[in-house]
Amino acid sequence: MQTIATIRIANSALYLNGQQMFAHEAENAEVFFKALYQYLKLEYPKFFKMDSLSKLGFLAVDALVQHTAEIKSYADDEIAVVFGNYASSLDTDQKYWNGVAAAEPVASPALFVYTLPNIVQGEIAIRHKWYGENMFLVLDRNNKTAVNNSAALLLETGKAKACVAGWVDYLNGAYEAEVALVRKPEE
Amino acid sequence: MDNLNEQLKAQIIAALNMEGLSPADINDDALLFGDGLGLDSIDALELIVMLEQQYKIKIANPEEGQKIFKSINSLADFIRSKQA
Repeated sequence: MQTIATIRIANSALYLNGQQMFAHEAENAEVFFKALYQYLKLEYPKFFKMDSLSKLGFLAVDALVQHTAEIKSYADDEIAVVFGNYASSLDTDQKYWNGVAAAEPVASPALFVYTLPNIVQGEIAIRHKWYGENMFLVLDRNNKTAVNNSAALLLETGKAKACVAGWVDYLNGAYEAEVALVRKPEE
Repeated sequence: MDNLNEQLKAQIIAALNMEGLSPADINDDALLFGDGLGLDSIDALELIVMLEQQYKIKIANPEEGQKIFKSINSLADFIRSKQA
């Protein structure tokens, strides 16, 4: 499997292939995500309605698309998206639970729709009009090998020509995303 | 200036995370869904929750929703009718 480009978002910074592209010291993750949204010159109002996990994955993939010309050469059903993380959608699950368990319960529909981790892939698919395979793995901490193995399997079996694969994890303000465009090596 | 209309605009912006919009950007008669403010079905559910929380008003018949949530004016009229 050949890696074409990698985007990493961690510690209030964005990295492309290991090189820092943007940094913004912010008091919390949401403020940093908004600054990154502005840096990437995005105009997508739906972004602000997403939960934090979806914002993180959305930003990482948008940065990857902006900096990787090759990604646009694939048909909309040739790109797979495989993500993994440790915390699943627990951050949003907790927020939703806090609402329904409150003295005056509130069951927010806008929060409820994000109580699955693979919703981030739906947001990305809608944004980029990708209709290929997708998979979200909830794994042991830092088990990124399983994500790479799954991406490799999709490429080897011809289910996809390219894959956006990586780690997208968010819990209680702590975040890490590392996504890459990968494909089979040229023969 | 109608206080209820302005209050509703601020509450909708906050409840629906409408970043970059201010109450002044929302016309009292503009459509809230479709070509107007562009709200979607999840937003509609969130507005129903907001009505229950903020105004203690329940929409018993979902069919009413289309008329009630047509615009800020129609929403304000509905709230006033329930509070009268």
